[in-house]
Amino acid sequence: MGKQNIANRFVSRNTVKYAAGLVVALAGIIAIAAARSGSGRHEPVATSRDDIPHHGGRLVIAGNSLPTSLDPLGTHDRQESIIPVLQIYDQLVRADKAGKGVEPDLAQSWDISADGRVYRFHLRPNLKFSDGSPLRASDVKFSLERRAREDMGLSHDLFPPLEITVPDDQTVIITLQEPWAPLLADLAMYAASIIPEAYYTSVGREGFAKKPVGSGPFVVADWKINERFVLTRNRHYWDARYPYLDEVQQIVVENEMNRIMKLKRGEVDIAKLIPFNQISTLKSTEGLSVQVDPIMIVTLITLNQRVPAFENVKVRQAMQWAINREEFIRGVYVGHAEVPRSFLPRVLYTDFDAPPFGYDPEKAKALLAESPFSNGFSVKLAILNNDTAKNTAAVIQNDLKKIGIHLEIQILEGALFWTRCEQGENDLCLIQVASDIADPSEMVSYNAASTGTLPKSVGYKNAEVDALAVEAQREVNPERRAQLYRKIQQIVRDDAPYVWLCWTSAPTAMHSNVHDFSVLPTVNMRLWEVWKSP
Amino acid sequence: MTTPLYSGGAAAGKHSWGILILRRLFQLVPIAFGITLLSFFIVRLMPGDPARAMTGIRATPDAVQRLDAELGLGQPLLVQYVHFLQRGMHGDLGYSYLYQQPVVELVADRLLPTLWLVTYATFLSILIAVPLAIMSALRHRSIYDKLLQLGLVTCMGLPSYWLGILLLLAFGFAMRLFPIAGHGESPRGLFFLPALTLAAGVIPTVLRSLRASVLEVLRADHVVAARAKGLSPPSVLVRHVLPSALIPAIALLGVHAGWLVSGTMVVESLFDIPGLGRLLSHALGARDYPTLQVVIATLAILTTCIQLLTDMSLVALDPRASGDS
Repeated sequence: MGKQNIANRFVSRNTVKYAAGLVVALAGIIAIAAARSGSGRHEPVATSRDDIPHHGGRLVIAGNSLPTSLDPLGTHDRQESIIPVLQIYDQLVRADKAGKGVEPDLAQSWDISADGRVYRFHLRPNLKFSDGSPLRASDVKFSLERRAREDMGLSHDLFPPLEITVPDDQTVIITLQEPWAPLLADLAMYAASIIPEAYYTSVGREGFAKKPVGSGPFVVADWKINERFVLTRNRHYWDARYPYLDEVQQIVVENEMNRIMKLKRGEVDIAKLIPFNQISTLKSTEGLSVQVDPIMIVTLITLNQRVPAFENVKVRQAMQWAINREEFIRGVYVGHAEVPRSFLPRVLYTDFDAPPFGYDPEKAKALLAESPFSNGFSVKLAILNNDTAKNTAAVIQNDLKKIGIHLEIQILEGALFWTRCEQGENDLCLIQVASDIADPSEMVSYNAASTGTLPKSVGYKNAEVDALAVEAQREVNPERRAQLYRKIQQIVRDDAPYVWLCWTSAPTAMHSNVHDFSVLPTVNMRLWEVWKSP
Repeated sequence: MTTPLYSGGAAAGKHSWGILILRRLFQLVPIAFGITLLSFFIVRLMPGDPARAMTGIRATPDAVQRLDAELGLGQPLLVQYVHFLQRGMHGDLGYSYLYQQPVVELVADRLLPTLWLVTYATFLSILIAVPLAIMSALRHRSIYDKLLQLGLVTCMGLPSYWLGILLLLAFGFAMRLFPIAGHGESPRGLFFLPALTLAAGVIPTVLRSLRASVLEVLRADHVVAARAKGLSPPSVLVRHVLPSALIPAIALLGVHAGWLVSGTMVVESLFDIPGLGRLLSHALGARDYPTLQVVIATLAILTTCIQLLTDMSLVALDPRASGDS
């Protein structure tokens, strides 16, 4: 009896039994696992739209990240923390929905002295924090002085030194050494949020970060870092109309297709940051709608002037004319972006009379011919690892090839990309720049003035721009200020330190029963104005 | 007369376990020390600094300087390491700059989901590999066997991220059997697809090894003898074939423990599971050194523990294998 026969005996007599057993076992595993799994919420999708906001309900938002800190000074200037901070705290004033100025928040009115150095804010009566304790002018003073002392982030450079006095519980007086036109816009920033002095002093920075207390429309009901973030209505909020919703839940779904899947299954009400190429599909899906909001972000390519070719302004201008922005927007953004007219995003004093950046390859070649680099040259473009960047780079590469510039694309990991960009180690960087305030001064400081991070990284320096920038910050007359910024924009446009590609937008998909949701130009949201029809 | 490998009884096995565990625990001290040393230096040798990693081009020079000072990044690496050890002796494993929490709390919160995921994946890989390997060996060279081989080779070539999305689309979305990413009601349903995705990386290797060793053991003298004695096929399979055949497969599983643990980084990110793998991924992007050190060290120690468990199983199966595998 050979050893082969044993195997054969197994096969002939028991194969069917074993096979059946195996199939049953595998099916059993799947069935058990499936039966135990959640089935997801099934929200009925409303088909009729009300015009009267409905009070109550729960909103679930899927984004690609959650807050890392809820301390106004702990956000690292990142959107994922900024947006929740703006829901649970108030500021003296807040950015208006158009992103061009500010409107009253904790301060119901204010007076500015004729020389522009003294601001007198009148707080609303009976303000309270979410724990019921009163909000007084002294809390405002405490919060703003803490910011000045401790914040090393963006607000550190945007605020001038402030002297704050509080003659009574309802009045805050801010005195400046020199007039500072962006002050109101600065005071609307997340870093200038008002926190309770007594509570903060008793629990300390760490305690406050774990259990924050503010006066905004929402309070934090549950917060597990990077897992779950739940806001509920603040009963003590000064504006009794808001919020409409009882609860807002934010979950993190990193993969954008997963976000869309969850939206379609009814597990979430809103999916943020959906891919541009999904917009039309989702728009035509029953029960869903898509909102594409213009935001204060510019996509651009930096031209490092340590590369000999880019020291020459004709070469830089040639590159401006060489890019077919319309086609690029059609291809990468499916039409949901705008050809820019300025280095500024769509913000206060953007020169909308200036022509959009044009496409003229012949003109580009002519400009190049006027430089020592008429035969073209080779450079490297560094990009981040995402689809939009890769598609953009491919289009740019193609356009520049037509005028003899050979582009090599380098995909770099996040931290490495930013470090090398900032230290001027890349030839070209594809980046997006954003404004946090409803005022052009931040963008001018960071992108045009020679002390700014971006100009320093490429070696751009124009003394006239520097002087105008300082003057514009101190100019309180709006018309004069507009003139100054127009001049700055003209000069920077001619200098062409970067190639500006587009003014971009934020696409959000949601169920049709979600109303009044929008992404503001400063890329935050007013979740207290959102409501759901039942 | 050949002695079946597994006999010798429970007593002999447990005695070997004791020695094995003691020896491993003793080895763990220098291993842990080496791991913390390595992870400390590796993360700091990566290009890119934390301030810029977190805020991109918006990082102000003051912010960069202040963070450098806080994390002591200006000092020589060895000095930084000594300070880290000193603080570690007092239980202070660092403060996450990104999350502004003690790292110990961050890691403790996320240990369980990763443990569960890795355990589930190991369990699934054994559950799937063993019956398929046996069937394949019994129907050696049949069409079924050949198809399985083809399937295995394909599976080995699939990137886990892609496979995970495929499974999500098929079973999560189209068939609505499972929740899409981290938010189902029940943990078992929640982790099935991720565990399966993770297991898919290990199953082919284990299955192939197991199939080969089952085939070999089927031809062994003691199996023939057992069959000749009149034992039924299932009995022969379980008592005589499997114990010897499983040995190389489990050894392989131990070798791949590192792969299973590091695979959680991709799988947890795709399925939005709040575990150590995803924490590692985020901390990496932000160059959050304090968090990175502790997470890497934890994952390395977890891998060592898995290897200890597989070695213990090997000793149980073959007492001669006590000590070193």
